[in-house]
Amino acid sequence: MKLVKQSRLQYQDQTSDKVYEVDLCEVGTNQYLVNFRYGKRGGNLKDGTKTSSPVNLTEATKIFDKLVTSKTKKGYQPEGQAAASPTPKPIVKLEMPNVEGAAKNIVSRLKQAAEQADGHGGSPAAKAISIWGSIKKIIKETTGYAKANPTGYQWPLTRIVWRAGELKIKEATPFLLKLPIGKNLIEQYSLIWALGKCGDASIISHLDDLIKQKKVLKPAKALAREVKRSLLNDADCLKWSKKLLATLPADYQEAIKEKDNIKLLTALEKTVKKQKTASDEIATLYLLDESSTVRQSLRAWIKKAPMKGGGHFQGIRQLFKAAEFRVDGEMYGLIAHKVFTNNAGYSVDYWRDYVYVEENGRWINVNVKKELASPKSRIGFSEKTKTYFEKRSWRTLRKKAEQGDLDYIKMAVGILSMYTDKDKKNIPPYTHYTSERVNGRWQYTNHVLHYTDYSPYDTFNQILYKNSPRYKSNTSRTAWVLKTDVKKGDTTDQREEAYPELWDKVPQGTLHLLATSNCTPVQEFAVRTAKANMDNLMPYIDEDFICILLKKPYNDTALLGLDLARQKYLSGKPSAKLILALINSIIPEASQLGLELLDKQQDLLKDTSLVISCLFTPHKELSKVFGNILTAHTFSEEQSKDIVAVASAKLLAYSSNASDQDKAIITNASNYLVAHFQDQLSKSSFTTIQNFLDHPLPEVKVFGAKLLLSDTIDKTTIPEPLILGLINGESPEMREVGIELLGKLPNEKLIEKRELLKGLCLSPHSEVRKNAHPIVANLAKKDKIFGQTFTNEIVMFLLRTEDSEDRDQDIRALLENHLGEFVKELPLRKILQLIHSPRKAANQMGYELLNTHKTHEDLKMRQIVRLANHEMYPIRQWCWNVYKNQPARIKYESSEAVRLVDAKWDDSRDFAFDYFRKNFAQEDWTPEILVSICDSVNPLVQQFGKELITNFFEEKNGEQYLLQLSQHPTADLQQFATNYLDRFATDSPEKIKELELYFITVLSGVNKSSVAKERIFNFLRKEALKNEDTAKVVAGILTRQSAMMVIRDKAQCIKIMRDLQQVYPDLPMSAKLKDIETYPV
Amino acid sequence: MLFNYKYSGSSQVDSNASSTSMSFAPDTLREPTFFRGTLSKNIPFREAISALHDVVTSDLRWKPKDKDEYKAWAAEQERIYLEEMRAKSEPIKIKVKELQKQLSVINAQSSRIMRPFYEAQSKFYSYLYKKDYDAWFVLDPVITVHPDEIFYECFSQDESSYGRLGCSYEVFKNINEFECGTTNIDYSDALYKEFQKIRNYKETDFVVDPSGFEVNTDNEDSFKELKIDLPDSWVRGFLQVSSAMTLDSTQFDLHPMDVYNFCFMLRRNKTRVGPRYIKFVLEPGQPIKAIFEPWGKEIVCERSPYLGNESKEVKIWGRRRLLILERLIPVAKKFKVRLLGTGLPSFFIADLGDMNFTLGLSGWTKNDWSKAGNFDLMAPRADVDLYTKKKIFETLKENWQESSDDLAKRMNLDKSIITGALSAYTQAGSVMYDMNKNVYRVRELSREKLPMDKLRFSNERERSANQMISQNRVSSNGQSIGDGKIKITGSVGRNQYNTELVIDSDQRLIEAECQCHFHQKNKLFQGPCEHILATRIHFNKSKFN
Repeated sequence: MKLVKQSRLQYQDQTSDKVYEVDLCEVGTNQYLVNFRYGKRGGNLKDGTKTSSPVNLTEATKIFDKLVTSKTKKGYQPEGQAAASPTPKPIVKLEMPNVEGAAKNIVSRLKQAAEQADGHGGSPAAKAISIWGSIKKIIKETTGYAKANPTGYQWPLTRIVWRAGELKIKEATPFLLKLPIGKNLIEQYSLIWALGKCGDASIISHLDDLIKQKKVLKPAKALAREVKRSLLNDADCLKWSKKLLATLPADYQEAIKEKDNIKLLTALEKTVKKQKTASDEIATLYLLDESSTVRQSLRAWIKKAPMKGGGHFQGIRQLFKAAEFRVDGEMYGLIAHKVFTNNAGYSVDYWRDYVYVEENGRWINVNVKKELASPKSRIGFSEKTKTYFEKRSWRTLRKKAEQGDLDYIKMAVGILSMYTDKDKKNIPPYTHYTSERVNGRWQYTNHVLHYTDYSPYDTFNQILYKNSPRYKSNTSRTAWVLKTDVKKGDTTDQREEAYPELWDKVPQGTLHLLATSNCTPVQEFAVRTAKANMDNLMPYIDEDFICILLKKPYNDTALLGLDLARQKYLSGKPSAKLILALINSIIPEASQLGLELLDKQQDLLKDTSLVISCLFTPHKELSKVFGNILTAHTFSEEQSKDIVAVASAKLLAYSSNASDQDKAIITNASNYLVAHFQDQLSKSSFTTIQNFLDHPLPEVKVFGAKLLLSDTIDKTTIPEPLILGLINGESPEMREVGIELLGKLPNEKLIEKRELLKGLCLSPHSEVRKNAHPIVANLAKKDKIFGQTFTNEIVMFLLRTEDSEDRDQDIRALLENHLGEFVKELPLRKILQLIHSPRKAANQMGYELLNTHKTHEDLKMRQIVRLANHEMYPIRQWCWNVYKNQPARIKYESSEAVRLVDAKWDDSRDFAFDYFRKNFAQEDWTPEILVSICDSVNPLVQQFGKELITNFFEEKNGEQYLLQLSQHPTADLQQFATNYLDRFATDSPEKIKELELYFITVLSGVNKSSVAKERIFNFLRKEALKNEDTAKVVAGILTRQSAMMVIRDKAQCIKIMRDLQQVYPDLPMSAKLKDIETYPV
Repeated sequence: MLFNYKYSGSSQVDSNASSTSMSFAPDTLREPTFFRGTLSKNIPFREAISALHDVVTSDLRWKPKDKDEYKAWAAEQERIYLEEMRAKSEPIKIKVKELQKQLSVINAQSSRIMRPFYEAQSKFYSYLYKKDYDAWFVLDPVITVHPDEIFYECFSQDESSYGRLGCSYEVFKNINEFECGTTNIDYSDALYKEFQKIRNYKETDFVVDPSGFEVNTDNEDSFKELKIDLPDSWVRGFLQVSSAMTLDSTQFDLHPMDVYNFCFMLRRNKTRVGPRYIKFVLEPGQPIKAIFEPWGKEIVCERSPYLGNESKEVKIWGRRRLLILERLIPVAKKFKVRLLGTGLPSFFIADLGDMNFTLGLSGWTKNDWSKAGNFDLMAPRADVDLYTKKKIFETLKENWQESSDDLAKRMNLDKSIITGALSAYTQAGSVMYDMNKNVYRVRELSREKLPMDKLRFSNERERSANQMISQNRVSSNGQSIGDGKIKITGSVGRNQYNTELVIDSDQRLIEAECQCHFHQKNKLFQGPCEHILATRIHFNKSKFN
């Protein structure tokens, strides 16, 4: 079958891309067929024919043209033509209350009350009840307040009195004095408090009077004493203190005299244990408060005191009130912090008035009210109390601030300085839902609340973040949360604290915080505020303060310190202290600067303690600078001995639970020591080294091992288990040193350890693998046999499943960088093994070896073709390049080379199709090769084969094509073979006999190849009629096939059998000829 | 059950324009079995081994359609309809329409942009599928070398078809060496593709490669180790079908064109409703008739008369499995058919001259509980003591294959003892019955002994149902209720539970009722209870008797 004419059509639109190919082929003398193929471009095309039996050229051309036209009409064409940040809330400058106006009102009302009391008859007690009780009425009648307070809520007298004290209205004192002392605590307490705030020394006698009165309650009396203390002048105060001291028990007095705060604390604890309560003693001690002894022991006691039981809590509560009155920021802050950060002991509400308390080791149920009433109460700090303290403390501060009272700063500093980073609370976000009715349907929205790190502490947050754009208090003021659209970790440059104007007035408070606070947000706040007021603060800042700032573990603070140091002290000759502070700062820049300064003043290095503290700096990245300094400086024998001794002692002093930073410091220091004090270190005895090696910390062990590396030690004397122990050590540094030690062993010893080295190269630890490389490289250089053996062995590990990360890469690096000359010598078999391994690294290695060290001549054609099936693109490409560059070889070995068309990969296959179409001409193809292409299982390849056969058809090979292609198992090729039937099997009974199985196979195809079947039937009929031998064969086939139920084929069989019977009446056949019975019409 | 194999390398077929060499890698863990020869009947061998491949990969179980995409579309459409309904006012409707128009444009754009991605993705998936294609096969075929023939056996993925290709030594031109025994061979899809290149004009070497027994010293993973976890049901199915071969059966021959006609019938028609059986109507001396339901079409096998003595009707299900025989039609001389009975395994043996191909089909393609309790193929047939059994097996092993008559003569034992003992070994997978030559052959299915106690019944209920029947505690009674359905009532067990079950024309249990606790609790969700099973088995037995 030879191709005479072909039309290749294509159809492309948005959704389809298909081709239609029509062939006009010559199959014999003036015998032509019109076949076609169609389908998706690049896909498996479907075959068909318009001529089941050959026709003459005119007719064939007609059929051909008709088909092409009809397709063109359908649209076929010949191939070849055709998101914003929230606006910051402006800081509302609270207007100072008009003290004048308010005071006027208050005084007038107090006056009224006093007058009423004056005019009131009866006993003082009755008078008091009357006055304090009927005050509401009075207020109602006063015009100003009723108007100012339209809700109708009236201030009780207690509150007016309290307010007078808050505003420190001196004018109110006479009226206050006139007021009778009330019956309940709140009345007594506010009156005394107001007197204390408004009055002066003249009221002391009145206070003394009150203290003596029986009806004045205990807390009120304690306050009265506190008030008295504040009003006394120094001399009188001293006198009174002495008197008070005398009232204390003997052991207290003794301790105070001896200034022994621990003894005093013990005494205090003893009292609490004995009496269950020590509120009197505590109050007295606080009143004394002239010495640090008393203060320290009180502070210590508060810190230790459990937050339970009246015995403890009563005292604490009393102290808190006293500190508040005294504006003792330190004490106030201490107690506030203690209360806020501790959990409440119990909580009660109106339906539950019983709590469990411990009694003699058992838990019993007690009535809250009764228990609290007892002086030895075992409960005291309730949930309610805690909330009260929180609210009260901020209220106190707020009231002060609103009046512009600078005491606010004192108290705020007191509170803030007590918080530390340990108080940080990590509260998970809380999600809640709200529902809303929209168009009659309920819609649910979820809200997520993110809590701040110090969320539960209201006062703390109020002070720091009252004006914050980031944080806000929740509605119930129980927690601080992030505002909407703010993320945790967002920063702001804005001043966020409450009452910034007060801080600006007394910025020194921030300096105190900077120096003492260990709390990140406080430091951030202090830095920000201090920076804003730097001009005012400059005079207070000295070198010591800067050193403190530099040493702080807070970046901002240390930066501020660095800034200040630059401004103030670095122009001249900075002191050793400052330099040390700079070096030890957490800011690398400061350390750098410190080292630079040190470099300039080398004489400071004489101070060995400075050198040692520099050695133990946490900054690893500065090692170079410090190293340079150390290199430039020569230490005297004495100095270096000193340094090494102290440093060694310091290293050995670390315990096994050292922090990560400590470990880094150890590593750093030991590196310095090894680098710069080698001479001195090499003198260390083996016992000293053993000490280091026995240390529990791996970092110290590494230092010991590094000492072993010193030249003075004969490596062969080091026991092998020690080296192996280091190599298998738990830290990377240990293993590194271990390998370094191993590397120092003499070559002849190492060569024997090939297995060990191989093991090291395959170790799960990357540093072990990498450090083993130079050793192997060195040995390979010295001993070629070792190198080759090692290479051959290690390369095969690429074929094994990897059990440690990046192992493959390291093996490859070793092979490429150090064993290059041996890799070249690897046999081809191994390279191919690598390439065809299922492992990627092996493939890559194999490819590189192939690409660099092998040419196509080293490979058999079959091996080259196999590369085209590889998953790695470059390997396939390598194979294609061989084809491109070696056309002569490809042609010479064409029977093998042509197998490329059967490649698994589309790109290889497409390359092959293209290559053979372009490079192979008629003379290069043999029928065997063409048939072997058709033998492929892939329909695309079969199609390619068919195309080649049609294009390069030669008459002499037609018979071979017919006989060989007819054995193909697919219906497609079987049909293709029918094209050659007429031309090459005609008049040849032997061939027909040979093709018998083929005929049966095609005819037995269930529900397929109708064209082929028709051609075969036609052919068989034609031939059988010519020759009796053929007829016998055909009769056999037909006899077998005629049993089928397919009417068309069965009819064909019968028809042919009838014809044969007529020609050869003796032919044995299953069909018998019957005369047709005719019926009369 | 866990099967372990260790192959040295892979089986390979290497063919070029003039020759083909097939080299099978056997399981190195089993006793060495090897064979070397050159094929002489190339094309029939090719067709037969391809048919065997069809058995290995056959899985005709019903798989539900993947309707995810449709459901997603429907959900989206529903939303659109709802929106349209909700948009009451005219302007909104217009707006919605406009937006939808815009949306469709955007969707078109997005699909245009995403198309290369999806194409690449699907390409990648198909690559993965191809790469791991061999993982889809269940168990590698078993190859057995015997003094008279070499044969392959395999069992399909859907646990319902058994294939056996026996090649007598006439198929080979020159046999160099062989060692009798059984082994598994490494088998892959690539191998099947290479089989297709076998031609008459090419010299074809056939090797079960003994070189795999050499020890490889390199560091690579050159051995291919496979651990295949076969479901117990698979192994049970295999053993059931092979033990069914030893049972008495109705036999007749079919002309190749009759099988052609069967295949044609199955290819041209589609079954949408049951029943889906072929009914063979066998009248002595008359041509065999095959009736295909539900179409009611009849194929009369004019050239294949039934030679038995009594007329019979046998129904078989799972007929689409017969299409496996399609490739054998041109090369087959005739097909021998063995039918065990309605709903029981059937066997089609293609006579390919020097080769024979046996296709064994279990009762149904999918042997689920609804068809359970039909016939206990694994039941012991005769009581033979252990010593005699072992001796018979040892004697058979001397010759590898022998008919029961010869063996009986040789051992001077009664034939029934021999068949009893050998059928027990067949059930245990140590012996197979060759239906073509009517001989027993030694063939150890697995390296280790199979746990027979585990494999006999699929669950506890089946065991106790059989126990109740053997204790005569079951009575049953059936009546036809139209539509081909049969209603069976029974009374079972010590408690005399009343059972009632309905079986349809496909022998499926479609309704069942029992008074026991298990049934009251689970109904049929976990399969029928032992009483229902017992009723059914009893009814079937009484029907056969």
